[in-house]
Amino acid sequence: MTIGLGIESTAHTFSASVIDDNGKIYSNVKSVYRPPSGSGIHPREASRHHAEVASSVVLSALKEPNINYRELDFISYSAGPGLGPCLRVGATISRFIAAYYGKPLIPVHHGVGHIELGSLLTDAKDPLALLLSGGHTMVLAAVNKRWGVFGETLDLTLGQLIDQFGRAIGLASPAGPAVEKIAEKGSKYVDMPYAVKGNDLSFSGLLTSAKKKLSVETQENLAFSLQETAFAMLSEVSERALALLHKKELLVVGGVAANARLKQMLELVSRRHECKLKIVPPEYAGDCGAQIAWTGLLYFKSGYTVKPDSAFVSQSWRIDEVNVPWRS
Amino acid sequence: MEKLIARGAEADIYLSNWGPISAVYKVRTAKQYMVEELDKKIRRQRTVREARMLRASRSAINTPHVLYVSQKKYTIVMEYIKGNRMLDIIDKSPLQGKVMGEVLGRLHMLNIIHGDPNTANFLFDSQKGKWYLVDFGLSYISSRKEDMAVDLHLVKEVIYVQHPANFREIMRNFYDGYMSVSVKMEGIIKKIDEIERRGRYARKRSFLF
Repeated sequence: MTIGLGIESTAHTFSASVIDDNGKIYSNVKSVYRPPSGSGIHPREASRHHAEVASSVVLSALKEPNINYRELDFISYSAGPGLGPCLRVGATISRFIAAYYGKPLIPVHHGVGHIELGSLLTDAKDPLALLLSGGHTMVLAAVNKRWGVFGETLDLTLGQLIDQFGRAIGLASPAGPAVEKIAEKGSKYVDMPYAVKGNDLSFSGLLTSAKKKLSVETQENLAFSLQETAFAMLSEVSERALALLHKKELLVVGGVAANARLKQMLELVSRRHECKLKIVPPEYAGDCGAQIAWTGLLYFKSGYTVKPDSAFVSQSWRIDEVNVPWRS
Repeated sequence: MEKLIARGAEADIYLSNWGPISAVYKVRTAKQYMVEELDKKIRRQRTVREARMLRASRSAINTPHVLYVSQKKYTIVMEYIKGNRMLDIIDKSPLQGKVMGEVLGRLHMLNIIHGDPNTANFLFDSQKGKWYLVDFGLSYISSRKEDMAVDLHLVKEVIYVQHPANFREIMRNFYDGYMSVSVKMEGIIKKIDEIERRGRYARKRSFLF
């Protein structure tokens, strides 16, 4: 049996998880940095939080299943993309553990982590993947042993759009769940720019429009219209990809995957294109160590590890430049 | 009798007759997942745009004749093009990338941006020996280099995912074709890089490689 540790620290979450090659998750411990209401993540403050909680999070991830460092086969960490200071906390602690106990070290792309954990938990084989985390809004499919980008946002991500709107109405980041609640109370659709460019999306005009209308329209109606417009754009792009690539599974991963209205819309999209909708379970939708541990395990099985002294972080690391040798 | 021949993301395509000739009925059906106001706005806008752009493009490239437009039913009736899709041809013959480039270049010279230049939208009618471009629902008029560059960026994205084995060769041919018909386009590659850098994570892969 292979067993490994994964450490996630790309943005607001510091998390550690232990997983084995049957996909059994022994632990998935998290600590989330919360910025003050109305403001976003400050990288330095977030990294300070991570440094403070790092050792206790890692220790409890090992303690819960009663595993010690020596039993681990590898250490994996999120190497990017993300906030530099935050990434370095996870990378440093991983490099230390690996060097001290003589374990192989594995850098993992955060986005690949979301998709691979989602595939594991929903039993998706060859899906069209929607990656909807804070830093990504992408439609992907496995191509040439990589995750090829079929469509993506040209400016803001869906997570940023909702978060920045939330902050504009005084909510704390991450504001997704709170915006969703407010949107449920809205009923009037306010006209907003709908920007689908081929397979790509643009959300910046939508954010500007929603913010501008705050003086003349209720928060509820604006939150509702913002979600309706953005989710419809994403649904359309998903439909285009399904029609062209003929995938039989639609996998949705990342924090925004937890939104109920989005789920409802994608359910209808999937039904029309006769494919199965697979949404990552809510407790694993946000950033977590398990996504890194599981992807680390896939790399370990493919024989890919690095020496602790060649560990790296990369703040802007494109997902389609990452090799995923276990994919077709 | 009407026969459903394709179900795209946007519309259902039926093959039928219009008087004596065979015609395609492109029907933009309601999207269950959208709020009604948004759904109707988009369907109306795209139906009108597509009909207008199909006609406007004819002075530079081949597009099917528009026979009838119904805004109320969100339907366009157009000449049926019996042909093969670039999608199914290009991997056997990457040289055809040149044709894609020429067609798109000619269109841009008219200041028309296609908006969805994927390989399923280029059709070859072997009887007439002509290439056609279809699916103008996302197209619009613009003389901005930026908008043309987005079109080219979309081509690159589509080729990379749908024809990965021949990506480089197709893109090089595409570029040759595009540059051979369009003038004053030297700065276009720079513009594409600029757009791609605006995205979340910068690409290292340039337009041609």
